Amino acid sequence: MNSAPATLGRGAGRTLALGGIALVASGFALGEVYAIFISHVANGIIRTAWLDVIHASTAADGEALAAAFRRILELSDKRGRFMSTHSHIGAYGLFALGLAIIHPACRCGAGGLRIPALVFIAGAWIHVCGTFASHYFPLPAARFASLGQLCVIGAVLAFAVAWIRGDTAALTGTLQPRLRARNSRRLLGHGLGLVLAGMLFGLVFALGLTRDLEPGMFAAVRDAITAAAAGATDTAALEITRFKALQSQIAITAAAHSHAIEFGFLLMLLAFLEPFVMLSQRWRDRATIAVITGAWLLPLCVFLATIHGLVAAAAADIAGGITLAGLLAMFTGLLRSTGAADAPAVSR
Amino acid sequence: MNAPRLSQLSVFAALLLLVAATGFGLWIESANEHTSRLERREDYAHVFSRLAAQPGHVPADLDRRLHEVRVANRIIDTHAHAANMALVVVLFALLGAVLDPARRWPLAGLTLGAIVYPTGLAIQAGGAEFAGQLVAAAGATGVIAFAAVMAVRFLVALRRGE
Repeated sequence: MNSAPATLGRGAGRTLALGGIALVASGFALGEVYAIFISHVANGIIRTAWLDVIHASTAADGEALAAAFRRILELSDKRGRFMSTHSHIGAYGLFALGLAIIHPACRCGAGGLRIPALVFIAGAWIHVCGTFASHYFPLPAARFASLGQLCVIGAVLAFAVAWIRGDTAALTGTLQPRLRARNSRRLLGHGLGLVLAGMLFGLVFALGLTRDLEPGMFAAVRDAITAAAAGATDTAALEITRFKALQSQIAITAAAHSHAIEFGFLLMLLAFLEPFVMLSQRWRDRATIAVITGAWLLPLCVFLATIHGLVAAAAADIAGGITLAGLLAMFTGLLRSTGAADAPAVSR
Repeated sequence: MNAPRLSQLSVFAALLLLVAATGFGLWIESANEHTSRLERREDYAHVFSRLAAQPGHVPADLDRRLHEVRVANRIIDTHAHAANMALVVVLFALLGAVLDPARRWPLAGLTLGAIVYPTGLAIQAGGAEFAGQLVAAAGATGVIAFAAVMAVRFLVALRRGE
């Protein structure tokens, strides 16, 4: 039925591994909702609102200008909150998985690291829920989000202290057997490749950003304002359209870079957990291949969206769905392994 | 210093970097009325409102406002990259201890680069654009070069173990 060499055990490791995958999977789901229902729609409306800004400012119509900026502000804030929630929830998930892997080498008091692990997961959820809600209830939700961040900081400090007091040499013996399985090696190899590809792409992108894209974007705003001041509405509209196009290009390219690296991290982290996935070998292979395939396709399709637009963006959404399916299958297998760990204790 | 000790110190440094990144994120939200200036587009709104109030005049503070937008971008970059660098170090330190314990200098270089890179972004956010770009470029190049060396050795070790 399964060839899992061990179970996740109890305590901090289980809390962090399951909590981490739940956070990452929620981040994927939110990302899909964001891409399909928020990003594309908001982009079109914001582009139109910017043209209204040009017309209102050349006509010296303060009310129309304020109305156009209200629309931009409202949608930008909504999109920004969604985006922030999506990126933080995924990052917290990855860090939870990282802490799950290092925790066996940590040394702490009698209570273990269960409480810091719970505080980390709870803090992560508090922060992302607060961030999401801050679009609707700015101040109370933002304070709630800050409380979550403080919880995360406290938990990570507790892990850092326990880690520096611990025995790293013992961890090597714990981790080595986990990387012997074929699927772990696959995940690790592809994860390393994705992280390196994402970093190299980021370096090239940063060069282009600082040399051409960002100066071009600000030059477009400057030219739009200069043209609007001179009463050349058509030129100003063209420049503001160029500004929006460059802004989108920067955002999408940065997303391709960050998704490649984050998906690479995910594959590397899953390599350490895959041996605990309690599913048949066939389903473990399928889940691994699904996660790897989606992890390569999604950043590639996101980047292609700068050239092919919505068709590539739709392909990226499908790739995200494939990764999510594989990740949920692994999550199910890990849950089953916790049941196996608990069963002897229950029968006793 | 032996390999496990170096891995231990690197992961410890990475966890502190994560704490710094999260603390910086907390400061970003608090210092910007719990939302970033970048998202609110207030600087853009300001210059266009000035233009509408005084038609025919390019607002005098246009360049300063655009600079503010650039600074907001770099602040968010610093936060995000510091957190991601922390995860890079944790993962590569663990893999180094397991798959390539004999070679220590790439991990030391990677850890240093991971700290230098977001520092360069922070320097840019502080206003020293060119100096910050140089520091960030040095850090990023170091991270990529050392990560590439380590990744190749990990892949060779994985292949040998098959």
